[in-house]
Amino acid sequence: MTGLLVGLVAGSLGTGIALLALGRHTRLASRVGKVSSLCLAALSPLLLLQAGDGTSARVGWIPETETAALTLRAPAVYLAIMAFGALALAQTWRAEPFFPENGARYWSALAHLLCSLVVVALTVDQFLARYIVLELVALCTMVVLALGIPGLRHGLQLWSRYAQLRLGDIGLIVTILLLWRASGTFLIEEMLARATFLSPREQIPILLGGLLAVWAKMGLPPLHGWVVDSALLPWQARVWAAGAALPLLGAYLLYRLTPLLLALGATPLLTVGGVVILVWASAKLLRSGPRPGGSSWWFIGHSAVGLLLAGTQSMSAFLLTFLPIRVVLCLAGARAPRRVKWTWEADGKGALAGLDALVRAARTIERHLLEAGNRRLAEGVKALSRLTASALEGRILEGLNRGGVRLARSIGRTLQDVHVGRLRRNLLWASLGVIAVVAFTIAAFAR
Amino acid sequence: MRHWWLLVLVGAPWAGGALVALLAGGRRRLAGGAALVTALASLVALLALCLDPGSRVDPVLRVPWIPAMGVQFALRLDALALPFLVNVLGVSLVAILYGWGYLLGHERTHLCYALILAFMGSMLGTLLADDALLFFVFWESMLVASSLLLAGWGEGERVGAVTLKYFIYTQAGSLLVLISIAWLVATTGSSDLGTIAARLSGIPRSQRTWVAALMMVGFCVKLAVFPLHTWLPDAHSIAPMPVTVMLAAAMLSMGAYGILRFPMMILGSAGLAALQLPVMLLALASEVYGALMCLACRDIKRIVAYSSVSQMGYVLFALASMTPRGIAGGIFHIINHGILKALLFMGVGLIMRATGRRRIDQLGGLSRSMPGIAAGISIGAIAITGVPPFCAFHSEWMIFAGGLSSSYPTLGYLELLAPLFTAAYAIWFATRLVLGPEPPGLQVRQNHPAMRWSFYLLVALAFAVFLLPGPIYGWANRATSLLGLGR
Repeated sequence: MTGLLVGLVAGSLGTGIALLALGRHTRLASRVGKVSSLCLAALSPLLLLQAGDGTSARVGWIPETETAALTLRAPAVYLAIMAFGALALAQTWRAEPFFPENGARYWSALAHLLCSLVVVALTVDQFLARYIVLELVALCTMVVLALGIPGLRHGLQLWSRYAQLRLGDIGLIVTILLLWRASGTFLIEEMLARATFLSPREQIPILLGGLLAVWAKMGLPPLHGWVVDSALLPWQARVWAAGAALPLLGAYLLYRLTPLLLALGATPLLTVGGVVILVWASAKLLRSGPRPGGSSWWFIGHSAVGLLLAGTQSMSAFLLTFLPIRVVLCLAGARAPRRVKWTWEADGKGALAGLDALVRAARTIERHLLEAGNRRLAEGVKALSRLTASALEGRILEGLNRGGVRLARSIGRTLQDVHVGRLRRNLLWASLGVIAVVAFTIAAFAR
Repeated sequence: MRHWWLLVLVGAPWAGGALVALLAGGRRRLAGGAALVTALASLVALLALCLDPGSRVDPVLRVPWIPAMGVQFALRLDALALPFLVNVLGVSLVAILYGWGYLLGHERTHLCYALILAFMGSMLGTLLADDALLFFVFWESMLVASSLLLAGWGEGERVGAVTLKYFIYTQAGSLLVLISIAWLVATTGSSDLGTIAARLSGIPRSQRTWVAALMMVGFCVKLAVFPLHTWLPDAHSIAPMPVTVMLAAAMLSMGAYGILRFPMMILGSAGLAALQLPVMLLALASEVYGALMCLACRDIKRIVAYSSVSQMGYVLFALASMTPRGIAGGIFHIINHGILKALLFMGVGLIMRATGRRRIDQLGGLSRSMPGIAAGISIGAIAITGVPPFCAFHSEWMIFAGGLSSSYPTLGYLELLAPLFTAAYAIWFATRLVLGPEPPGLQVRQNHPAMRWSFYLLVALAFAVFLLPGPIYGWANRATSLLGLGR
């Protein structure tokens, strides 16, 4: 059973949340973080006793998807133990001074949270749950970058880094949804097993999506801007941002894609890509020297080695040595002269320039097309109303009204005239005539 | 007894509104309290209907209304209306609660609450109407109530012009809906929605497509998707915040409901097939355009308003995917959008009230001066990008799944890029407000507790829906099953 694994994850997660609450009490938080990480690292090797021993209790969460559980399969269990080890090392070893002004009080909490998420991402057997955890790891990495590098905090710079990670998530969700459509399940083992039986036409988009995710998570060019930034973080945060979190999960994803790579015969392409990136990273490393951020090219070169070894027997060795090598590289970076200064990368500039152009275009459409259209429409309605007022209302209807009034007046005047003048006179004569007729009639009858 | 709860559900806000208008003059607390109690009465009625043991059959209330025309006052609570009802009721409740603090400085508060209740009642009536003419009557009363709220309690100098623009735009959309309803009634000889659906089967597909197109345009005006959205930023930015919350988080969803009820459910998916591609393209354009306009704005209320244009693009894309999972995702997104948009607008209202400023370049460093509000608004901004651990994650992955399974999977792949644009404005907005440098002379006043607590309630809800998505998944799936698309 995997009760210990669940306990370790819960311990790490609980400590992370407790440390967030203790953020203001820096000393106490630091002590709690150290003790907790040492305990977790000390207990984690016990997982080896249970390796391959079934799954934890399954948790049903998202309706219409399978329940998710943590499993203790190799090599994930070894990577999980190494992640707990990295947590303890980063919490206890002061390789370089803290940078308290850069949100250091939260790093212990973030490290614990990241550790629990990484272990869940490595061991969970349901792909949608793994995707969620990977997104959370990406979000925590961005928070670490935002807290650790003041230059990244304002405006859209942080977005250009987040966009790189988000591209990887897009690739992964494409892979997951296509695999789900083909297999009808979200269980990783069944999905990947089914993938090998698909036609190449169906396999290619699945593999491309997966490789995009690997590229972004391992920080391979051109999606490497965030790795360059993470090299500027203090050691305690760097070990997670540039090593134990997304890069490790990216390497693990590459390892899981091996059957698909072999089925499509795509390993030579990756080898070529790996060689190109390795040469490029070496050249950049030689040019950058001991400048801040220089150590990032070590990270990128190390990831390129993973591409070279993809699909070979050595991939397992690469995966198992991934985290120790990254920790060593992070420590080596700590010896470089350091100023926390953010350097602008060309890829970030390009993305932002593109976005800026799009924003301008949208503003132009809004102002000069839609709002101008509204204005023209309003002007048209106004002109129409003016025309209606002057022509229809002013001339025709008012003219009719005036004519009607004039007609009514003239009729009234005529009637009045008739009533006051002729009618009264005529009535007088008529009345006199009637009276005369009546008088004559009475006189005739009287006779 | 069951069907009388329907009358309580719709009638309580109208009756409560009338009482508040007549009796609560000059007594703000009484008006606010009465408005909340009235909204709660509607909620109790909805709970009574949903928890009833006989709730497997849709509750229906039918009273003759215009016998000469065969028009009935017919209300029905079905699976399609339920998620929208929950959204409207929830949003109205928090808006009224928020109004306790926000409307303190306003005049004629009792009339404002009365109109808010009338607005709420007309939305509920629109959702429950089982007669096409009754639907239109409630649809129009929604416009009248909201226009009066804008005209009477709008903020700024352009209140008259903006109200007129809002009225004309949405009235033009309503006119198209009216023409379509008139055609349906004339063709089928009945205004009962069930009868219309049954008698339409013999009508040629081309005619149904034309009517569906007319209705789509009419409802898209209410949904405020590009390029029919220009009434939205103006109306949202002048309205008092509780009304803005109701306009953005509840009223926009009426457009989606209209599309689901008429073009999709009554006219059937066959009539819509020809419109699928243009509508999906329009939805994609709306998603990107709205996000870009957020980046072009400096007024924080306008930024959040434009984000509605973008988010309604997601909803329209989901509906246009014509797949069960996509449509269920769209309905789920309506509820998520309701939570997050109310959260963001309330956060913006708290910032505006506390600082007296509304331009983003005059604000910043709120993590130090208003840490709780800053954290909440950051959560709202991050959540709207669809990342875990917040509610919009569930709806977005369903929308993506719908897009990839649709007849146009290429557009599904393009849809996957839209969150990059959402993330651009969300991160920019949050970092500028929360982490940026504090501008000189920024003074922060304490906000009313009702405003703060209704805001925090929504923050908790954004997280809770992520953790417990089951009920909303269920509602959305049951609503989708009524459309007859198959699973």
